[in-house]
Amino acid sequence: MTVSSSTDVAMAQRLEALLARHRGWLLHQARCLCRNPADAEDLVQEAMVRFLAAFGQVAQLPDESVCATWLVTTLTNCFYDQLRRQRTRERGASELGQQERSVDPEPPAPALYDRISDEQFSSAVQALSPVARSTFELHARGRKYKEIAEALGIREGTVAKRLHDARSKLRKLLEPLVQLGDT
Amino acid sequence: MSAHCERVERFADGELSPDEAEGFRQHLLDCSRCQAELGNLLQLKMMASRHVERQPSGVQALPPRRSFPRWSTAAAVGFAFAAVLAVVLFLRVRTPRADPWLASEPERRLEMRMAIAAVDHHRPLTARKMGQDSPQGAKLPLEALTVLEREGDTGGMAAAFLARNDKNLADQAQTYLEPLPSTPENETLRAVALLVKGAPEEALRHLDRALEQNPTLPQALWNKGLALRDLGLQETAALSFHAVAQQGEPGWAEEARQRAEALHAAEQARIQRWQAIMNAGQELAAHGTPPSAAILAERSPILRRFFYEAVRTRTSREQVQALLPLARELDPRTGGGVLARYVERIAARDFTLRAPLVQAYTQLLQGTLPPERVQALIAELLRSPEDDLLMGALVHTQAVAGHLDAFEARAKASEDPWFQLIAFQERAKAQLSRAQEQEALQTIQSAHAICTSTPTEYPCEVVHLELAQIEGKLMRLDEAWEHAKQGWQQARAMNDRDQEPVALDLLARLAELRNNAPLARAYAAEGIYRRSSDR
Repeated sequence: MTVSSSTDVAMAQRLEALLARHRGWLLHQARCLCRNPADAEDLVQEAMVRFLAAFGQVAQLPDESVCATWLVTTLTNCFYDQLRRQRTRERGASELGQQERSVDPEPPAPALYDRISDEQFSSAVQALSPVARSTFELHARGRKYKEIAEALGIREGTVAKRLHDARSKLRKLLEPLVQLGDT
Repeated sequence: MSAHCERVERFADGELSPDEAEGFRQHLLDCSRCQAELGNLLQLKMMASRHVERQPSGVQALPPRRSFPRWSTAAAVGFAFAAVLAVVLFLRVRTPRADPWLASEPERRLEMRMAIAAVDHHRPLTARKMGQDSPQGAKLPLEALTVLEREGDTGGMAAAFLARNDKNLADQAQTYLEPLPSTPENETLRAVALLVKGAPEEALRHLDRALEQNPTLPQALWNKGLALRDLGLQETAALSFHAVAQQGEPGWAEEARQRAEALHAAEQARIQRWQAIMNAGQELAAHGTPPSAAILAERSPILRRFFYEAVRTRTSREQVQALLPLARELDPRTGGGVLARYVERIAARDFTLRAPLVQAYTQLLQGTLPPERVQALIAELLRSPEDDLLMGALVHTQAVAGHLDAFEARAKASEDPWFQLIAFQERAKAQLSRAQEQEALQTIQSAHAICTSTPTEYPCEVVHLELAQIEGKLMRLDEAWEHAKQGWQQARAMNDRDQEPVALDLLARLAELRNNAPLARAYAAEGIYRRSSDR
């Protein structure tokens, strides 16, 4: 008994540490998506509650990158739910029937094996041109288009274009890997 | 698609004005395309953020370290003392009897480089093969070693053992290196010992540690090129030598440039040979044209795939019989005369009945058979005795899963391991789609058993990779690793450019699951290089 409760405690600590690590990044994304900071806070809160509901009872936490993928998927779904609730509220009670809709079943976490590995992602980034890569990495560090434009001495439109091209190229390089797992 | 759709990326990045953003949010609820795209973008952003977190912060900010010799403990005492010691040792090197690193020989015995200034001046590599040491060179300069030992130059002692390029002495070098701290120079020496012993995978781990601390250390880059080459990762090996060449060191830069060019050229030559074989194969399949003597001399197992197609698409007995010499040419690769028997069996068919089916089958291959006639053709073939056409049609239309029993019965009757292996692969695929991993594993293991008793090169290479794939899913990582490596080696041996990238991706994932990040990076980088240069 004591053994299981001590593993429970250790597990709870791991979960807490994991969520603490990701909270800042998730909040940054949520602020990009939501109408106001309060909505963004709600969104992250809900994603974390769902995460705990799914992983709070499991014996072993999956790999960090699997957890991250799962959190992002959940955040996205929660965001769509939030949008739907807002629309329902704004359009009045006529669509009240939808309000109590049950929470969507969560998508299964992608199998450990079927994802893009950290190493493959980094290799793909190395394959970008130096210009594309530096723009992409600055943005990944949380800089806004404007800040990047100033740092590199280019126009904001150019930043958007470079970022778009970098992402398209990465997806082209990585797509075969996503499909590989299904064969 | 509306104007909003084009704003999805700016929206995900929080770069729209409040009004535009609100407009986009309203649009988003009604556009499943944008919903999917936003999900993808957020995943990509997450991976990007994890990527920059993994980067050693400030690697670029570090001034490039000079590869100054590290006289182990002496260096800690102070630069002045180290310098004095270096002069003393330098003087000793000048005296002919004290040359512990064979630095005065006109040619170097070691292909690798060591990050010790007194050892690392460029001399051409000797043509003598490893282990063919002249007896006089094999003798260790005990006197010089005693001096090094007295001066506490453990790294220098290890280098003395390594300079002789002898597996047995490499063990001894490792013993000396073990207690030394993890400096770029020491890690490079550790990698040299492992390379001499023929362990490039482990060598890579140490080289990555060296390069993490000093990303431009030429000796580490050089040795990394060798390790990658030994793993069959030629293009990234070439890149590593290219990076050395750019540093412009006398002698080394030129040799590095030649090595980079040779590696790249060898890989390009492989691509051209493969192209030639594929072209010859397509000619064979389309017109029954036998490949040239030069192509046949390549003895590529890939040709067999096209041979079956050639027999299937001939419309008369004479045309089929004309393929008999080629069947005899290809048969010895697997033994047993399977292909010759196949040709004789088909030549004995009634072509008044077979020819119309052959025509429809040919249309199917060319994509000119109307889609509504595909099912009718398969139904007709199921009733006919033309087993080979049926199997071909099912594989082409990816319909084997729907007719698995029929396919297996005909594969068995063909007595050709080629088709039996395909049957096993298809059954495993069907089992995997139902998430029956254990059952799929057993199926592929049966296929693997055939491969060990009757090697049938092409399908067996795929079997190895599929076995590794399933074992990876089941987290049987050691077995998966062995099979993936076998698959990779077979793909390399056959020069199968279709399966090589599959093997590379698989090895990258498995290496990562086995917690070997440097190796995972190496395989991933070669795979990505190919994809980015293919276009």
